[in-house]
Amino acid sequence: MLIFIIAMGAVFSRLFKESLADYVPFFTSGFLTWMFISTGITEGALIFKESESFIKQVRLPFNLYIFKHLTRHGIYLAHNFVVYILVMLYFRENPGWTALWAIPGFILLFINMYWICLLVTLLSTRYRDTIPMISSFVQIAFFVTPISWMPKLMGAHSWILKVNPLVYFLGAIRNPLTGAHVTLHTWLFNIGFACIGLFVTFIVFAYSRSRIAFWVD
Amino acid sequence: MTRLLLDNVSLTYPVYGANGRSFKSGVINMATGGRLAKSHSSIMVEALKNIDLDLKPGDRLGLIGHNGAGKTTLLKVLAQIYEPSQGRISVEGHSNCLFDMMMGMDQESSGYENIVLRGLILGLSRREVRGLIPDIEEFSELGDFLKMPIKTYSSGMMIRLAFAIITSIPSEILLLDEIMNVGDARFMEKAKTRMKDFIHQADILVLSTHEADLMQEFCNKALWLEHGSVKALGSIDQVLKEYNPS
Repeated sequence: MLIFIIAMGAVFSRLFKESLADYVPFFTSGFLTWMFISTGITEGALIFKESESFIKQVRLPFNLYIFKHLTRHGIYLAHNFVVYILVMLYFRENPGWTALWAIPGFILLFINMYWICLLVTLLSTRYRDTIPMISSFVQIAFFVTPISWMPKLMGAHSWILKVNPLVYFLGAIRNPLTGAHVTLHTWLFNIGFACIGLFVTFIVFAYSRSRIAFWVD
Repeated sequence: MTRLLLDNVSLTYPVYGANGRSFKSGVINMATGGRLAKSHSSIMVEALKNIDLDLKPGDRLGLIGHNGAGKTTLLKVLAQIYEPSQGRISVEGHSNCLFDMMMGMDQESSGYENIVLRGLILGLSRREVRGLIPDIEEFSELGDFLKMPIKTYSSGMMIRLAFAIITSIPSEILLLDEIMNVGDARFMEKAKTRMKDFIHQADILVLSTHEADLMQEFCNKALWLEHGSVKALGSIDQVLKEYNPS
């Protein structure tokens, strides 16, 4: 992770003509959040499939498997977070107390990831060919989301930035971590997205719950 | 009071072919009304039909029937792993089903960690699990091996541990798919006694086995399943006589 960030920082700051001190903290905070989202979703597609031996043998709440998955990736995220601290120390950047606003950002991200993982795993347990679809979708998402490139390069009012929910997820975390404020619009979007997502997912879950045990094999 | 009640339960479940598993052909089917990708990709299987059952404490039910008659499926419905597609099931009491002894064992963790893990999966609290440890230590005779990762165990040791854990956790309703066989000859005797105690402590037992003498030993009632419906239900001797007229 650290080596990757040094390499990316060296090349991309040159490409985008940004100073290292601006680019590397931006990329680090965005990328470690992205790692959580992307591995969370691609591996999330396999949650029920991998828990098959449990699902077919003992009655446990299905949420347990989702929470287990989120906990594991939360721990990975905490590990990678050390890299962010090292980077900030190296560049002597201090985001100040603003950085604490990242905490509600992470909480909202976890809530959103909860329903996304549940929905994705339901879909991929029923339809097996969606597993590669989901991972290529996630790969594309990396390039259309401002993680390795700065959003200002696109122009502030680009529709690409407006319709991409990942921009809002990242915004609520990366902005405070780099000392910037989070707009009210970003908070509202995250909350609204969580509410709608949870609602839709629970309907799908209620419809499919009794069949999960048959879908896994 | 412990009780296990099935009220007119039927279970129908889908079995998918390769095409039924595909999102792409699902979408194409929907878009073209099934003209392009014509396939009967999912078949509905009627595994259980109109089963009524009412078990109270003291009932020891044996399930008999040919392979594929629905014995294991019925056990899974009783364990609430499969939800019935029709009818109602009500379970009072803590039920424990044993299909695969090795379920949920983590190869990297030590014997002690696996005891805790398994106990938690079966619904005990950490404190309750800790109380079981001396009993498991004594019965499994694994000694210091319990501190080592279970991937270093021989298969016999692994089964001994699994068996010791399972039989140390009492449960009101016990669902068994075949009686287990454990390890070498000396251990087998010991295991048999323990298995009997384990079975006797349960209020309700449902046992599925092909061995008639085992069933006669443990059960007082029998249910004969054929193609997913009840062919006969009654006392063990009576049903076994009908099943095996010779």
